[in-house]
Amino acid sequence: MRSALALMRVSFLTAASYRLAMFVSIAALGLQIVPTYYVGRTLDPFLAPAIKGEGSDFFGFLVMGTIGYLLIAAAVDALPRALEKGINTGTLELIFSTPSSVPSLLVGLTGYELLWTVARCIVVLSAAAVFGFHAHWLRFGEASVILAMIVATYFGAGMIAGAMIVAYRRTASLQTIVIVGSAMLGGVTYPTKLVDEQLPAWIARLSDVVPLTYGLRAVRRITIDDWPLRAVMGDVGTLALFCVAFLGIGSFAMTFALRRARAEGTLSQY
Amino acid sequence: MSASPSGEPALRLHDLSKRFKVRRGLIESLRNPNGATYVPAVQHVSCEVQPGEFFGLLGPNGAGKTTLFKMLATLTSPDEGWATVHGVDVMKDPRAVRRMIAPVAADERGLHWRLSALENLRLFATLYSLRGPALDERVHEVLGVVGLRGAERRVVGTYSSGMRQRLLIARALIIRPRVLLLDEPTRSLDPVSARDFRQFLREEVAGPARCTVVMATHSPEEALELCDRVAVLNKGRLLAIGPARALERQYSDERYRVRTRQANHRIWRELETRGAIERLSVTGVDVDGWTAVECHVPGGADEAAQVLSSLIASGVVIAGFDRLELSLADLIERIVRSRAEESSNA
Repeated sequence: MRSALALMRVSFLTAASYRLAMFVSIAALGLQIVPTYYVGRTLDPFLAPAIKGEGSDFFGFLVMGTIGYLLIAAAVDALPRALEKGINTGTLELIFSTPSSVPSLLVGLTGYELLWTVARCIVVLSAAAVFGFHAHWLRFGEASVILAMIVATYFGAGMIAGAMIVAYRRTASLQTIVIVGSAMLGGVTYPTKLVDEQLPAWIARLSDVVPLTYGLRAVRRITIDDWPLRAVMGDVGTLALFCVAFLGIGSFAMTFALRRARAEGTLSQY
Repeated sequence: MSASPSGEPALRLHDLSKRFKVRRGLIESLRNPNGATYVPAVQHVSCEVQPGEFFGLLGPNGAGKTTLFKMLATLTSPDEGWATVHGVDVMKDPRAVRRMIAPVAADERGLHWRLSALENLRLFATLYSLRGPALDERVHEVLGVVGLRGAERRVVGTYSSGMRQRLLIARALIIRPRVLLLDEPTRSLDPVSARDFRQFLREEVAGPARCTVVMATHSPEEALELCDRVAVLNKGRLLAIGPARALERQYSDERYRVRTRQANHRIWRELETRGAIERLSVTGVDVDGWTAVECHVPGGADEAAQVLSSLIASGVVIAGFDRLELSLADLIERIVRSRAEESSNA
């Protein structure tokens, strides 16, 4: 655990050394809420029937979609990016030559990025509140657990991409496919109901195997429409299954990749 | 150099081998799935290094030195054989091995360049399970050892190559390693910094810390002056092992350089006729008229002394009479050639 915290601290200090980039990143997120607000308000009359049961207004729908998107993007991309950077800078080989456990190293390499994303989500929510996002704020404790499950699920996908980096130095755009695919089919900017109704059946079926579909729907129902937790347990249960499966596959892939890299001597090659 | 209380050597390598697959294109792999070819990196290397020993690994590029280091540092797994660090098998208990062994890479990669030396060291101290006051104490201690105290809050990116090299060593020393693996540590240093660095290794690392140091090097100064013993590797095979001076003597051809103004004196021909000297050559004339004459003395140091006496007795004025030391490149080349001849004869 201390190893993970030490690595997160190093990531923070490195990021903080780029002060301007850090400031711009937060400012951009705050400003992003302006077009989101106007797009949401403009399209609300047209999309209100479609988002019924997933948020009472389209602006709130978009805000929670943005939160979901930010979290899955970080969860999928953080590990492969950290591993790639570590390989290129030579730091990965050295941290793997310490007695710290592999899970703590992987958490440490990605922890700061994930915490930073949480901070950015809070900025988005705060800016949205200023623009009149009426959420059930007290329900965010429960929603956080579901959002954490979303992150864990997509971190599993990130582990698969990370394993590909360790083993092959390439991810074949896996992160992009997962992030864009989930954003398109998982209900980030429009409800999955539209996917079911308007797009070919095979695409609609794809939407069913996107974990974000279930996670976002549950979070919106809780935070925007104040549904009780038991009413979203179906979605949460499905998300939990995805979570176990993705983390399991990700762990297996990472174990395999590290073993392969040690056997082939490629852990430090860049 | 001394044996550990348990009598266990610091490093024990037995029949250690590693080969790497040659990368092929997708089409080639599909066309010939069973046609993978391998390059041997380390072949059946067996040796022991004693606690506190300063051990050099010599050999041309691609000899297998870095692969050997990576196997000892548990970053690469051996295909055959085994290796132990103070009795602990690198494959069976890699985490225990990592607590005892500290690798230092050849280049300055591996440092966090936007952080201070202090932060870099704190990170690694934590990764090696140091905590609280002990961590700070140790960090300041190693900063003092490598002479970076006072510069510890500077960002590493502003350091000179020599300072970064010292920081890499400091990072390795954090854990009080029982074995330090140095891969060409002075490669990026200027001659003066390299000399200071060797002195530092001798006085601060090998001396008081009683640390076993294994160093891959191309530097004759490091091999001959620093290392108690050296091993010569070529194409993954261990060709020779022993004290560097002994190897140098074994493979040198007893060549001497004489500085004289009488390079054409008849005594040279007489000595050559007697067989006391061979392969006589005049290599150059100094601006002040002194000539460098080089010759091979097959009888070694004793005969060289007689040659010198004969020259002086014949009235040859001599300003210098030195045995030419074998360069590291020549030594490696001769060992490689000698082993190749032995194996072809066998």
